[in-house]
Amino acid sequence: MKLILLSILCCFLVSCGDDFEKKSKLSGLRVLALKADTPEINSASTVTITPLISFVGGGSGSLNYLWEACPDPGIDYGADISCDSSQASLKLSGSGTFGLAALSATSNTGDATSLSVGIPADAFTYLNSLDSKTQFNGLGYLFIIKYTDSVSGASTKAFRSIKLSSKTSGELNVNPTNGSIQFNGSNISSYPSSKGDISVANLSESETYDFDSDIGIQSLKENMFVSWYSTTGEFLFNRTDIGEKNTFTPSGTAGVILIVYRDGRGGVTSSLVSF
Amino acid sequence: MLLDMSLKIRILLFLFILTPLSSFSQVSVKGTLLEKGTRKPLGQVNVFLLPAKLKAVTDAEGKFLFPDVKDQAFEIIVNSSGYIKLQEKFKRTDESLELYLEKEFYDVFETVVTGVGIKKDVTKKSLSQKDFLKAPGAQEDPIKAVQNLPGVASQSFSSQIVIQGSAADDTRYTLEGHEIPLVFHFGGLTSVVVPTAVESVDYLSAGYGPEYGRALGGIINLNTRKPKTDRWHGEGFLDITKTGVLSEGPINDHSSLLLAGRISYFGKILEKAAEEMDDFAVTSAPEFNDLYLKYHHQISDSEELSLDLIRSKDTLAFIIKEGDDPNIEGNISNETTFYRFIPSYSKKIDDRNKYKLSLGYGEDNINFNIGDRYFDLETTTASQRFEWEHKYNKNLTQYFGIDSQLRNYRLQIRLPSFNSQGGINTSSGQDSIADIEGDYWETAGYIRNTYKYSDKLSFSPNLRLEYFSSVEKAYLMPRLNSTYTLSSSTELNFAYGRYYQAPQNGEASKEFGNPEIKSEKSDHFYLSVIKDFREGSNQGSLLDVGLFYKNLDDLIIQTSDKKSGGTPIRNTNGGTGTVYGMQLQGSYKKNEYTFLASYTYLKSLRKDDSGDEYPSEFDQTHNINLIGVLEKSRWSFSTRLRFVSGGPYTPISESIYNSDQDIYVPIRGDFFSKRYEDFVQLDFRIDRKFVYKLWLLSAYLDIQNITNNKNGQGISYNFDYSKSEAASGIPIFPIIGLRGEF
Repeated sequence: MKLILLSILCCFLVSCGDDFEKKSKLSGLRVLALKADTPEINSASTVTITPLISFVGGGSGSLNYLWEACPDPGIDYGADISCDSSQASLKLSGSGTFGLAALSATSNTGDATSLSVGIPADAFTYLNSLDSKTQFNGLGYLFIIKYTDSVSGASTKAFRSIKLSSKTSGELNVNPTNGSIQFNGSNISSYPSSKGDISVANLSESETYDFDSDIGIQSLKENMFVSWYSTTGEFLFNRTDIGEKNTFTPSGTAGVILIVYRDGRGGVTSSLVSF
Repeated sequence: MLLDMSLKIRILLFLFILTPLSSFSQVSVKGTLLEKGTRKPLGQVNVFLLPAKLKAVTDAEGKFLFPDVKDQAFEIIVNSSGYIKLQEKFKRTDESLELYLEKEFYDVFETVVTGVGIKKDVTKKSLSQKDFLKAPGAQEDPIKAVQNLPGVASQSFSSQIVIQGSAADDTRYTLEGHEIPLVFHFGGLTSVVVPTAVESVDYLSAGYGPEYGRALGGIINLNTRKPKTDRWHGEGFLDITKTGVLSEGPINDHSSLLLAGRISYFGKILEKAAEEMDDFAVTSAPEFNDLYLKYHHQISDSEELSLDLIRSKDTLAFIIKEGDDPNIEGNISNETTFYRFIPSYSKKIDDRNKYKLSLGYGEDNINFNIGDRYFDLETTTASQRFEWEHKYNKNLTQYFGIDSQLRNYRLQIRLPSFNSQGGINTSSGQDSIADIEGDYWETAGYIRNTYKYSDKLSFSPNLRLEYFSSVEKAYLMPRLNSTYTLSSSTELNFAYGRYYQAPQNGEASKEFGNPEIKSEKSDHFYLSVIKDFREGSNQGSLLDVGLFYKNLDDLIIQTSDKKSGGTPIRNTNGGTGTVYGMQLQGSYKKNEYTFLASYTYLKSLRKDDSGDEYPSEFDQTHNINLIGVLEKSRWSFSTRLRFVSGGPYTPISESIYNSDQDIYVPIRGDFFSKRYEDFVQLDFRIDRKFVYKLWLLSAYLDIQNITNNKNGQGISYNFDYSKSEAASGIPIFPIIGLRGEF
């Protein structure tokens, strides 16, 4: 614990990573979110995954994608984030091509083709063979996707977890919601011309949820946060909490401003404004 | 004849009358001779009085007396070895003189290399107080100075002692033989004990003796000193990070007390630095304070009682408005406190038997909060050490000892689980929540036999038997020390030892670890030659060259394997390792010059259950420390040059984006397959002593990394690990300090 604290302090004292481009600045090929219509399910069903991607400067070509899905092999304990070791009956996979022309030509940023992931009944059979805590808290069913630019060969990989649990329908996690992006207190309607406060209206509040721990059922609160992205200009913070304002400094060229709102346990939503 | 008679009578009468008059012109001159600055009485020193050419010798209290001196101006001359000649004129006086003799040198910087002769542990090296107080780059810290010794790894951001290629957790820190939970404030800023209360630091490495255990690497033991008994002394000190006081003296003829304490103010500097940062704010400046008390009571000529009390507290609170990981940001606070109370009693029964019993009791509290997440650990520790020494004859001495420790703890935790294989932490953000109470204990019995077989050969076949309750197993650990004297100035030493270390930090707990895990095991071999070229003088050189080999087995490693039913196994004993190397320590002293050198060549390898062999985190192939000291009058100039081969690290080959947590998870390359840049650092230190009659003032300037070498001892990555750069180590760092003592 001391070493963690010391490394945090040292990191700030020696200013590590100051020269790098900010995470909120979009460039190159990136997956910004993998949105699931149902982040948690309690029976075999089809989950729709919508990747939110950005490929600034990627032209109008296409991206090839490969995806696979399987129960979490134990990534918290050092297992590779892959489905290679998973039983065939628990594993899903697919591939396809996504044309960048479907996105805004200037920013190449937005939702890619949605994918249907039919969670197999065997996955719930497997869940039921696990201990009661895992059944209640949920088994992570990983969805892993890799995009490769057909022209340059550039690639990026992302994953998310779909929770398979024994909770009742009313207890299952759902995606958060958000309102419009606001600049200096008003809905943003044009690309800002000067530095100002930027925020998101009507962010849904964090929910409490039950977690079966070693000390019994605990009522925990979701850790909500907004991730900010833009193709031009610069945010003060890459990420803010509910109610926390960010500052945006525009550049001379208009672009896309985008937020992703998460609940820290798989629930995610997004908003994008393009100028 | 009559006239002659009359003359004689007159002469006698004259003498009779004048004799009393003459005795009025004779006086006694008395005084006290003290050391300037320290006011230490100087006994057995010749004091000359001119022009009468009289000599007096001071007694133990420094007092001298010239009983019959003509009542006239006189001159006192004192010329004693090690002191500046005193020559002072006085007018006739009836008052007692108080003379102060100034030392030529008030401190001598000299690292103690294990001397020639029979000793309890051939692997032990000790630094005395005067060694570490003036060690360049150590900021007067007893444990940081240990980094100048061979076999000790260099670390850029931490001062933890890593011994001969072992892991950082394989070093055990003790105070008067009793384990303390932490030895540094804030992981490496400064030791928790006021340096001037420490008499010496013992460094025990490969092949250490049976008195200690529970550490695969070695032991760092702080020996505190008895309070002074001649009079009350005081000391005040400050540098740019902290200030403190120390007072000591006699309570009565048999008892004495030492009390010392420090507080820090370095947090104010951090606060100032943080003002310029948008994403970081200090809400409560990092502060530490510590208190140390020692009471000593000489019950009789053969019995002693002493009480040690140490208390330490570190506090810190800050806000990370934005970190790389949303789980590690927000309000972060930490408070760590502990105290230890260590009474000890020793008795010499007769010329052949003596024993010492000491107890330790204390509580530790570590509290760490990150937003809603927390780590609260409360521990109560009781320990006990007992050793009986019995001399059978001049050739055989046996030591029987018991070394026990009991801990009761309560851990309340809610933190994200993480995996740290290859030195890289990864987490899915899933919390571990637990509230665990429990206790565990370790108790050992040991026997040391020091047998002098001949004038040339002595050896110690030793044994330690220890039980670890956390794994419910007892272990037999043979240890051997042997010395062969090749000549009056050369000796050959050999040491062997087997060591077991119980699982640490919850590795064996059912909540976070694997209850079926075993203790880690190591066998140490050490062979050394010591050559003393000084031939009895304090000038010349001393050389100590040693070879070490360590075999490590049943090392605890993390695993992603699961039991049937999906329960994670978390840890196994699937790790093994080998460490071997050579270490050299040399010193050379000529008049006011002292040179010290230490060099370590090291290979430290590990193998996991996949069978792949890779270097360990502290596989630093070459480690060189060169120290030069010039002591001139009241000045001391010292410099240290350190060169350490770049340590290995695990490269990050790519990353994968975790959409649930908005973090990029690094994908590890081959474990520890790349190396940091070599570490080169030059430190410089100037000390100046100001000697006043009644007190001493010391000032020092200690400049670390005077050439401002960047020393990339880490890698800094961008948010998705696609770009990296070397993270600079500590830049040029000057520290100014003052110490006043009386």
